[in-house]
Amino acid sequence: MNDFVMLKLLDRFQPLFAKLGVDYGAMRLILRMKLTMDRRRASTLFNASSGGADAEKETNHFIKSMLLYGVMGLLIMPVLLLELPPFFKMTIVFALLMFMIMMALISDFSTVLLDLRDKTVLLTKPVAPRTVAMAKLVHIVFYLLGLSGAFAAAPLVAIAIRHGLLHMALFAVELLGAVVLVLTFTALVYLTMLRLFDGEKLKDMINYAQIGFSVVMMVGYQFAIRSFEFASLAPEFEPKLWQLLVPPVWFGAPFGWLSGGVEAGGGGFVATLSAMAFVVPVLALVVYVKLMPTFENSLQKLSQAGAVRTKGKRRLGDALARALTTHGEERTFFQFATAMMGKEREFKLKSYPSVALGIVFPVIYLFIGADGFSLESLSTGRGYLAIYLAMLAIPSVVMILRYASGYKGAWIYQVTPVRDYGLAHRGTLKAFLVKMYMPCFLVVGIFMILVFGLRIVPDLAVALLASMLFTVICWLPVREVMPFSEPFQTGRGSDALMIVPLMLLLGAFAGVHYLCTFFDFGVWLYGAVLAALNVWVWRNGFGARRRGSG
Amino acid sequence: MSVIASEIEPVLSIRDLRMKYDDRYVLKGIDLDVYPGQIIGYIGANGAGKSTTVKIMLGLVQGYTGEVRLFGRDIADGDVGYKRRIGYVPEVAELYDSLTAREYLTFVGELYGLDNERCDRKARRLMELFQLKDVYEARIASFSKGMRQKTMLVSSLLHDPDLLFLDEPLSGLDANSVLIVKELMAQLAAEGKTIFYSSHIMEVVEKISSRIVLLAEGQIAADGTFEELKERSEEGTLEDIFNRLTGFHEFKAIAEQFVSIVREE
Repeated sequence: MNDFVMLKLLDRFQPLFAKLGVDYGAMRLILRMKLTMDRRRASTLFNASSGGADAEKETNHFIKSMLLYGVMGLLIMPVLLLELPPFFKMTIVFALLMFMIMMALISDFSTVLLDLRDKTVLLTKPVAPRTVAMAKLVHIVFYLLGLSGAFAAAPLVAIAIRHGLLHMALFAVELLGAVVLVLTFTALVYLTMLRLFDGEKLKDMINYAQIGFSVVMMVGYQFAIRSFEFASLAPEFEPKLWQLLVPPVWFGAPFGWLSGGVEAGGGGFVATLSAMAFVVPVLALVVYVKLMPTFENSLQKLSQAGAVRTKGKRRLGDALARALTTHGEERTFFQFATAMMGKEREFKLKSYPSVALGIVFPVIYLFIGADGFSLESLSTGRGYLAIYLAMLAIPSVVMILRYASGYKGAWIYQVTPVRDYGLAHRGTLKAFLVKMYMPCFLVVGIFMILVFGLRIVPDLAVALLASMLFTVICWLPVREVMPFSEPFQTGRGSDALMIVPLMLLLGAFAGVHYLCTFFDFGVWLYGAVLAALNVWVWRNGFGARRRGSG
Repeated sequence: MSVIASEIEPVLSIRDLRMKYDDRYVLKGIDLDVYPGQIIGYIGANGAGKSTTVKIMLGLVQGYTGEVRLFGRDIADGDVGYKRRIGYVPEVAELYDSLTAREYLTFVGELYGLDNERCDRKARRLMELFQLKDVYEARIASFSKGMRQKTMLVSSLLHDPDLLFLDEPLSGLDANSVLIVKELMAQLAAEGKTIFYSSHIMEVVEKISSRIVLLAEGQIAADGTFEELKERSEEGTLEDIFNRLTGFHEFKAIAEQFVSIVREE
């Protein structure tokens, strides 16, 4: 096993750890093991072969993330070069930075923070709990520093050019503070949740936080283009009490001070903010170290079974299943798929953001349009056709219906006498429409009715018919694969390739609808055609099929 | 307990051990002395408190009352050094399976204080005896259940421990490997090692244990050699003794109900 540069750097701090009562040798050993495992994290699934052959395949997943963060840092570099008060600029940079770190922490390192296996493997050996906890902390800090370092690289250069080395040094120091603050804050939130709720609840909450972050990221991307407009408003700093509660403002404050850009009036307040940037991370770290044993002990809760949930919604689900499905097997799969979509955390993480975007896109489109930004169709009152943007959710989710983290359970399809796999697919697609697509469609639909009035109800009905037809079309490329029977893999290029033509098709659906609105009863005719196609497709598209081998 | 034993220092000594999870006592006062060379068959129904006892002794569970002494020292004194003399095979083979067997085993050995090379040599030879030489450099993730179990067994023995906690150590092993492990336990005990063996398979416990401790509802319900238990309870097999002592008689009735529900149209 090869040694790591990071560990060699860490060796310089050996006396510090010794002072903290940590067995440095054991900690180093554990860290080396963890780093080796992390390298393999992305590729564990494929590798059953010998260690030697693997060595080359150990592509460092982490390097890729660092590159991504580096590019994002490059993107915000221009903001720093603008003629703006440093206080304001740096607050924005830190807000972004802390958000990114928090997201990385929750999505990638929650598992590290909440690892239970450590307990059985490590604590049964002659290693003190304090050493194990410290190894965990250092492990995460390694990564967060790497990521935030990559993110901050370009801004650091920009600051050095624009404001000089002193600013740059300040930025570097504050960066460390921000990482520590985010890490300890997250850990303390987890600890509180572990205290209050059971482990399953915590896992659900982390899951929802991840989903939330993904949505914010994607939506934020939509607004990013307009951010310069927003930034050029050049806000003037006014001391407000609430700023005391916003960490990025603390980290921005010292820059205001350093540049002397803030007049004496706000000076005392800015000094307070600046002090917080240094005091709070240190305090948070002290609290964290104190609570470390409590944290480790509370982790035990994660392995305990959660409280039994009430099954109030069962009856509605049963009624829906009965109303919408025709055959026994179809109904079975409808209910099974509904349960999987609601319970599989990784599936939720991958699919819910797409559905959320299905809600957000049409709305953003309308708002941008209202600014006189976009197509003429809006002014002529056909903006409601933006509901077709909600259908963007369909291909992305239907494509991943075949994935599940518990994909190994799929052997059950083979050993049970399921006669017609076509019905299984149909039940699953219906479940998707009911459980995931309809809520999205209803929200957007109601929004559209509020904006455009009841006159658009027939158009919405047509759009729904188009959605149903589109769902089956999206499923065609993956029809050979049983639902929830393959593992999630990152970077499935083929999925993205399949989605492109589907997007074009979606445009065609919307285009035809648009043209139809120019004729009397055009929309009704379109609706009738779609309805007929739907009947045909849902009846005949799922002809009895065996599970394909490919 | 035999007479000679009292002159020797116990390896493990528990006094009035109680443990409570959310207002429910899982251990209600356990007293136990275990001596070198004993193979303790530690049995009890699900939820009787077996694994909790073991986890307390390994320092995985805190918050108990009473006293636990291993090798003559109270484990609550904050020094984890006593774990150097313990080997542990948990019920579920939890290990870092993205590592290769070699990496994992040397890692564990080093945690126990062995040096890397010696550990590697030892682990390789032990794995070879289990017919696992070819996969020594392969990732554990690719191992079958039995292979993982063998790896766990090797990892628990690398540092030549004096006290072994084995929780269902035979699970997933083929018949031949079972023979090896059983014989291994007998020979280790003959060397003066102490083995704390938990299992639900009564036939095995009956055959290999030199002493059987039966836990029921957080208390010790029986303690002695198989012969002693047999005499006391007038039952033929350990399974019968187990059923009687845990107050379980209605297995036939439950099975009947089970069948009738299965057959239901």
